[in-house]
Amino acid sequence: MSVSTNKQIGLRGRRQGLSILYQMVLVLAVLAAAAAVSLAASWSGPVQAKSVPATHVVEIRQFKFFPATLTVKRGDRIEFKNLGVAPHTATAQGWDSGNLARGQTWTLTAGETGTFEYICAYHPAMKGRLIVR
Amino acid sequence: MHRILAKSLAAMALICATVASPAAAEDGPSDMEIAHIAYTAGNLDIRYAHLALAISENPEVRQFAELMIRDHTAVNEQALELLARLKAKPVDNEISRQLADAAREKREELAALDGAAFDRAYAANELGYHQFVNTTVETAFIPAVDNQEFRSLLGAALQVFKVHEQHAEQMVEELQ
Repeated sequence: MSVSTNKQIGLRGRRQGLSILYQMVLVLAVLAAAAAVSLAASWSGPVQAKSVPATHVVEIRQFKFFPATLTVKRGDRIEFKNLGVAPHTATAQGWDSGNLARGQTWTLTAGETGTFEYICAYHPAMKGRLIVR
Repeated sequence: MHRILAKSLAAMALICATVASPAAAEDGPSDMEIAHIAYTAGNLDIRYAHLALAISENPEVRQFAELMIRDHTAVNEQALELLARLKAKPVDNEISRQLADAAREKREELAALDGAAFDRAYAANELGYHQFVNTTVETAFIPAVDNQEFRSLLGAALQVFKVHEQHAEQMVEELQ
């Protein structure tokens, strides 16, 4: 395609060729400006809000998870903090905090969307739900 | 078995009598005596659990025993941390000794059993033991303790022991 265009410029003479060249530069400049505006818009728009992950806290106390149901966005961080006297875990199919002694925290990054039912492996009557959207 | 129960009840009566007497502030167990009794009670349950792990082959019983070791160890460690912070030392006393004596006899009785008979006897003992300890902690110890931090730890520990009591109750039913 570009070879064909060059050939046309050669046939029509140097001046006409230069004029076409200017037009092409102008078109490229306009396209570059449009791209820059588009890029700027995207940086200050919804993409920026989406790219900052939030941190949520699930407290473990009185043999319960607080909140019992938590909804987060994919990529968010969830801190499970044991404030109880007894050791606990936050255990789902696919992830497990392991032993959390009093005062210990374990952080999960929500990697995939879905609803995750979890329990304390030591006290299975303790139940929580994590919804990742 | 009745003799051991009678001893436990005698210990309970002794605790209630000393705490509830009109001169409770002077005659009842001190904070450090209560700390010793609570710590002893936790350790005795850990010893029952080790016996269960040595004898039982029932997964549910073994899981319960592991839970007892994990939770009572955690509670006792936190009690020791608090005592260290308060620069206080638990004081041995008659109630602690009675509890230890009764538990020794009970361990001997349990050690003579195996299989389902052991599992049922261990589960029944765990239920009775937690009922006894929980009632004592709730009605006698917590109201009698002077130190606020110690009372708060006893309250948190009681919640753990009550969960154990419910768990033991389920275990007794399932093993019948």
